[in-house]
Amino acid sequence: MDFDLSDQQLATLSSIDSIVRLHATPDGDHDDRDLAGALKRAGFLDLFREPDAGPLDAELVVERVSSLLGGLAIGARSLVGPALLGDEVPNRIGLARAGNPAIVRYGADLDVVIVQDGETARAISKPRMLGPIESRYGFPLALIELEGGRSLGAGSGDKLRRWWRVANAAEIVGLATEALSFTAGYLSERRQFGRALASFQALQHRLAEAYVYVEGARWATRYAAWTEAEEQASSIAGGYAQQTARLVSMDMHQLTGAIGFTSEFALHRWTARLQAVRLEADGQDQQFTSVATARWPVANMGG
Amino acid sequence: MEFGWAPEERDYRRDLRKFVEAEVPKEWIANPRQRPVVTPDDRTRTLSFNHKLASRGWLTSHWPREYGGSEASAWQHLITGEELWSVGEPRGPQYMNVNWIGPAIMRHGSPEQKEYHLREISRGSVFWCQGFSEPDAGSDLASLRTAAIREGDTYVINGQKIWTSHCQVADWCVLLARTARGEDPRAGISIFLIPMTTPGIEVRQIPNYVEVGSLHEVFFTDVQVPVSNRLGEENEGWQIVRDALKNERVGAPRWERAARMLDAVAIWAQREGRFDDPALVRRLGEAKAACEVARLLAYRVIDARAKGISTSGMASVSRVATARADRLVGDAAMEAYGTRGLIAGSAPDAFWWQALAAGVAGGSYEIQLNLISHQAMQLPAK
Repeated sequence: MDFDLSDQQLATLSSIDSIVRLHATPDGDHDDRDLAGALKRAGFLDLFREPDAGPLDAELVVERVSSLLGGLAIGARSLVGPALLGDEVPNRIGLARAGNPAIVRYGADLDVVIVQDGETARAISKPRMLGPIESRYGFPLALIELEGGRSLGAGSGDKLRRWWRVANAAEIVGLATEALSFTAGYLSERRQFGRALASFQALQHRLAEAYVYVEGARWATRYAAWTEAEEQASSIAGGYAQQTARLVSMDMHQLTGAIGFTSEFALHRWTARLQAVRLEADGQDQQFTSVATARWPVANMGG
Repeated sequence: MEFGWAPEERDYRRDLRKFVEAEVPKEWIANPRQRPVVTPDDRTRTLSFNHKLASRGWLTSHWPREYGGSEASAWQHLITGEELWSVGEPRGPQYMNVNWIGPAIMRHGSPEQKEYHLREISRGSVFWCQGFSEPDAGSDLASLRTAAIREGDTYVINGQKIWTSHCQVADWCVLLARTARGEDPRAGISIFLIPMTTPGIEVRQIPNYVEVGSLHEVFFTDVQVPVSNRLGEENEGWQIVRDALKNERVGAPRWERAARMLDAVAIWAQREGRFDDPALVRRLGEAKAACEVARLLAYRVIDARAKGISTSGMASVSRVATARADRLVGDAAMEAYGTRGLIAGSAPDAFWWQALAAGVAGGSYEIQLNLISHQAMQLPAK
């Protein structure tokens, strides 16, 4: 067991910070091709299959880029794409569940959308956009056509489901980390009753409980990536991260009060995205059901 | 970053499990509730188990060689805790001796204290209890009032301890008592190592719902203790205990016992046809997730401790997650069993009451949240 980041992993995260500072446009609520291109050139979008790195390193990239509000579907690009598509992974990947048409993140101009279609997954190149979706959840959304595409083979549906959980959990960890940190910082500065709001025990305990959730989601997700998205580990990460997303987004707004609802106050940038990410794949109840059926398969029912 | 076990750690767990299967009653393994050492028979059985464990070098494996250990890794010690706590803790209260009382004696004890106590602990021959809490000093432990007044080469101790476990069979008590009164209550506390047979000590069992024989009051009336039984310097007890308990901060490996209880409950529920209830299945899954998250957060503390890195705040994160897991498992177990869980001695019955104690014993859930606020998040005090 070793819970420390390696020097290489620390250097990767530090470089990502620099790249985002240099290349990201200030408002990440759109498809940020400059940022995606810069991350790609630096090799940080392709760590999943790198001999000296792997899925855990790719997961760390997803956490960090998400926390920095990068304008790309980083989980789909860094974790799901490499797991499903092999070595040639385009930058703009969408994920969708069967049903036609579907609302997909960054759907306006995707290179490929990977569709969960029962036991198999399908990849549709350059899917047709039917129209943009008006939304205020931090990502550009579009309605896209899901007909056709090529099958990704036997077992690909299951693989997509497992990696999608890990990808979204990693995005949630990044977003929730910053939402919590931002809120704790604000409450430490904001004074009422002659003292910092964050000095009140009632608020401290809410923040501390959120902190436990975020740390729990972080390590469950890293562990799931390390297991290469095993069924039980990925559903634990997915379910726990979704619980974290719900708690953090609602509690951070509760704790910041009315200022938290304003456009000028940055909190919504993380909390709105948390909603979009947590609702994208299987819901929390389905994830926890998957934990149970993975741990206690029907075979135990004899005797 | 690496989440796999080393081959020697896997081998140790396998060997220990074989030992447990041979030495621990099957009923304990099937129903992993805490089993306090109450009767003389309990004591005899526990001592026998400890001697066997010690003879294999597994009781104090992480201790230095000079004190009877083999300098095994923190991970081996964790495995010992997980495997034994999860079958009802057949070591009895040995975890306390091994985890922190022994190490505190190593660091602060006199040569005579080291010679005697470390030998006895590493052999598994001695039971200790811990005289900390008082009726008016629970979470606010520093406000304790049990007084030790020095008279020549002796201290005379008067006061009362409460919620003490294992003291009905304990040979020794590690006692916190006040030796000075000043502005900072933490500055006037000393530690005493006291034989429980000393005249003036009276133990009364407190009837309770968690486990028969698990809670006591201990009264000290003009108890005379030689100065040589003080551990460390006078008035420095608070610091010594605080340092020693850093080794104990993740607490008992409740996540492992909770996970095993959950396995037993889920398999029972399947056989009873209860997996037709999607709400119950979901609930069991949520509890399983909480156990595994708590495990990872505890392992993170063990890893930091093994590397000598400060675990400030991290251990409290682990404790909160563990208490939550215990409660979710207790609750899910009761839901699964329904009214059958109300039968005395049923698996959920014992577990549910003990899960309630997870957020109370050894530093409450709320104290852990305070520590996270201050140590991990650095939230302001005012």
